[in-house]
This record gives sequence, C-alpha cells and structure tokens, in this order.
Amino acid sequence: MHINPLEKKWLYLAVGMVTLLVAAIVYTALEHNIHPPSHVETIDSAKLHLGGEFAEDKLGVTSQADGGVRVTLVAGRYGFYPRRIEVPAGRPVTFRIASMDVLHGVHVPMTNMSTMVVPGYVAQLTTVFPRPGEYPMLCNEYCGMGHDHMWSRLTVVSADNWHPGK
Amino acid sequence: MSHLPESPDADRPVGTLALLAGAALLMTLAWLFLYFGVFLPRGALS
Repeated sequence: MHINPLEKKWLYLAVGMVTLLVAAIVYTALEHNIHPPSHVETIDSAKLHLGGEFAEDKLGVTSQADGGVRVTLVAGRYGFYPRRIEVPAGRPVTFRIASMDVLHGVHVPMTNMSTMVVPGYVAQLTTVFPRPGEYPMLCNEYCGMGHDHMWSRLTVVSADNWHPGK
Repeated sequence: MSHLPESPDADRPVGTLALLAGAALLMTLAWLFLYFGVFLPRGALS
C-alpha cells in the first residue's frame, strides 16, 4: 500500500500525539490511583430506614482511624440526607451513598466528585477536596418532577477548622 | 488534455506544514493544561 510521504509524516504526528495523551492518562491513573467508581455492594433500598449503616441516626460525617473521613448519605426524592455536611480540605473523603427510591446521581460542581446512585447498590468513591469553600451537591440523573430542586450543601473547611460530627 | 506545470514548491508545502504543526502543538498543550492544570487539581477520584 502506497502512502504519500507527507501523509505518512502527519500519521506519525497524530499517532505521537495520541500516544502522549494516553500515556499521561495511564501514568497519572496509576500514580494517583484514579479510576471510575466501581464499587459493587448490594443493599435493600426499601429497608434503609430500618437499621444498619444507612439508618437516619448513622448518617453524616465521621473521622476514620486512618486519617480519612467517611460520609454516609441517603439519596431520595428530592434531597440528599443529611442536607448539610462539612468535610476537611486536603484529606481523603470516602462517600458511601444509597438510594431509597429511584436512580439518582451526585455531582459537586468544580470538583471531580460525581457518581451514580443506583437503587439496590451502595455507591462508594474516595476523593480529596483541595480547596475550602461552599459547594452545592446536585442530583444529575433525572429522578422525577422535583429533580431540579434536589440538592444539598457541602462545606469544605480547612483541616485545622474541621471537627468530626459537625 | 494538458496538465498545468507544477511550481517547484508544490512538493514542499512548508506553509501548510507550519500551520498544521502549530495547530497540533497548540491542541496538545491545551489538552495537557486542562488535564494537569484543571482536572487533576480538582481531586483524584478512586
């Protein structure tokens, strides 16, 4: 097969660009342990309120022995419960979220925090919020007539000013 | 049917080469900036 020498140059350049970008993604994914939320854990969505990790009195933010922070949330039409959470900046925050009814999504704008919350499964992901500030936590999967009102508030404070249980 | 004579530079399109190489470099730098300068500083997800 004959390829024009000029086309061959551009082919090499395009392949080189793609190789560079893919290498950057693979390297940083391995370096920072980045991967899409892939936790698989089933739960009975109809019985969340009856006990266990997602009972009302167990929800919220807790500090872990390894220095991380755990946030346990329930998503339901039309809100995330508890409605207001506070986490420290610069520390790993692990979200565990369950839906009490239909498919929801969680997205915190201007951060990479985003996942689907599928009924019957526990959505789990770990992230770090680098900058303190007030962030909305939005549902980004259409869940019903009140979907556009489904949001809560996430406050990121500096690690020195953060106190577990707030 | 007669062919028009090609100019001596027809097989060395330097201007096109420079334009496309510039665009390729610009796109690569923009992508690297968005990835390392915007995406990663927003917090790794795992």
